[in-house]
Amino acid sequence: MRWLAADGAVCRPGDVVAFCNIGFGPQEGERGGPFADERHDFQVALATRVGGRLTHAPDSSRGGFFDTLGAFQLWRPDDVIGAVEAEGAPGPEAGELRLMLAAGRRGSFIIEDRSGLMSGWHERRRAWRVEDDGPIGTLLCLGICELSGVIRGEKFAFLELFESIQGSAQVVYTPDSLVVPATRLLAEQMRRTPEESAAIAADLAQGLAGGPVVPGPADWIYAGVLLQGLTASPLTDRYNVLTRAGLRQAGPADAVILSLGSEADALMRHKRLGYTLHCHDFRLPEAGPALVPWLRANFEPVRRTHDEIAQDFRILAAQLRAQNPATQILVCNMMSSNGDEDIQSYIGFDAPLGASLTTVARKELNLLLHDLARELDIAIVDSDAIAADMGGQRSIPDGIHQNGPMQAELRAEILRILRARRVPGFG
Amino acid sequence: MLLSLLLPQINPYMTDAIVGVVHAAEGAAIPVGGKLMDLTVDLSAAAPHDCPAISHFRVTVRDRAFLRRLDVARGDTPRVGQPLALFSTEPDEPLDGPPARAVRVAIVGVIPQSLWDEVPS
Repeated sequence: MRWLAADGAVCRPGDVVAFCNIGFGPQEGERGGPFADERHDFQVALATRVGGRLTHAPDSSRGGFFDTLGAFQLWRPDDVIGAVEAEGAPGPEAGELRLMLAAGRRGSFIIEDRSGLMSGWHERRRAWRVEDDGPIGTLLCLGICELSGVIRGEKFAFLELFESIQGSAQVVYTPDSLVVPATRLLAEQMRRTPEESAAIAADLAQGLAGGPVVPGPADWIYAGVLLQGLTASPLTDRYNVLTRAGLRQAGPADAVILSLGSEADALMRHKRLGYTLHCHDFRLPEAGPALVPWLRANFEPVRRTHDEIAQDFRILAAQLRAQNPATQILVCNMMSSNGDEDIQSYIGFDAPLGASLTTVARKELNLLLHDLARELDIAIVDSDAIAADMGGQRSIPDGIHQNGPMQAELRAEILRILRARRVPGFG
Repeated sequence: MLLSLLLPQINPYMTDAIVGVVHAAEGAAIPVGGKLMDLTVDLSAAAPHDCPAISHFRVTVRDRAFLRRLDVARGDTPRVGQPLALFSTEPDEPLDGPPARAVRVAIVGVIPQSLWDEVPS
């Protein structure tokens, strides 16, 4: 067990003071079981119910591999790991810790980083706290980087979000490490058959290995992440959830949050297989010397009009609600103004202005989202208004990456929407 | 009257910018609102991040002026405060005097050409 709060520190009610990696017995872990693909990064964060001065129990943390591997100490619910010198009269449950469980699914089991709570590179990470028998609500985040800090918080472990959630809830985060979750691509992922995934994999393997350049490590790693992203389908995922009372199931997600920033007008389409790929521009030069020519030779750019982007939203919403009619869709819009811009003439810009001016393009997309929100009952997370209110230059100087206070405001707004829409666990 | 243009502090964290397309040639008459050059501000070096904070801007001129001298070319990386160009209000005005003031410009965020657009079809 690893302490996050020092011996003698004063903690608040609900503070996560320690965490541990936990493993499972052979039957549940090594030979499959409900957490087979998450077993290497399965953790429990421990929060006190009362505030006061914390004292560590002797031998509660043993250091070294005893604290990072799950094999040296049995989990016993009545073990005493410490004490809190509480202020006032504590209630009957004060001595029992609140548990937030967390699991990360690695892209490969060899990618290991056990340096902290929810550390490491995961193609999916999630956390949940379930303390009653009610339905478990799941929020799935499929945004770009702008939502990373909002959802995962300052310590990258969902702690701030769970501070404000009282019900039985799960939060799932899928990063845009390589494949950017544009609506068209997400809808294709949901429909993709195992045979189609196998064809994508075979084509990529043949193209990479059979090309004129011998692939190096960067090519293989990039290709692996690309293949994982294309053949996954986070919107159809179901989840095993471990609780004090035993194993439960959750999902598919009750609420999905997307980024409007994922909806670039230009996507890539595989020339032969026809599937969609969307990657951030800055990722292309990072692909290895063998993969870049393959990408250039096998994909073609496809431009979408706003009508086509709207249609992609309609298709995705229909697929989600065919799966679960109650699915809530939240979309974070884009910061669309720049206080430093003082354009007095537009002759220096080609028409249409939405194709060349960042602020115009974002305003047009934000307007499109307003239309879709009415039509499809989508909830807008109004990053544009929040940024303008908090000060764009101070809070989000490049229009994408926010500071901590703005992330906190967006987090609160997302929770407000989830409560208003009565998503289980978040209400 | 000579008018100077130095690299402005577009972003509080920037130290320099990368010059992209230069839209005007020396000697050209620039109309009010005419485009001068594109700049890229890349904060990656100051704040390494998997998702680099890179912004793209176009400099347009808000004075009616003649572009007399370009101090940078595409690919250059001038630092904040370094000269980018010199303008004059008359086409053949001598350049040996000090600038009377800075040329008025608008710095506008623009959408860059996608690297994917370069994919051969």
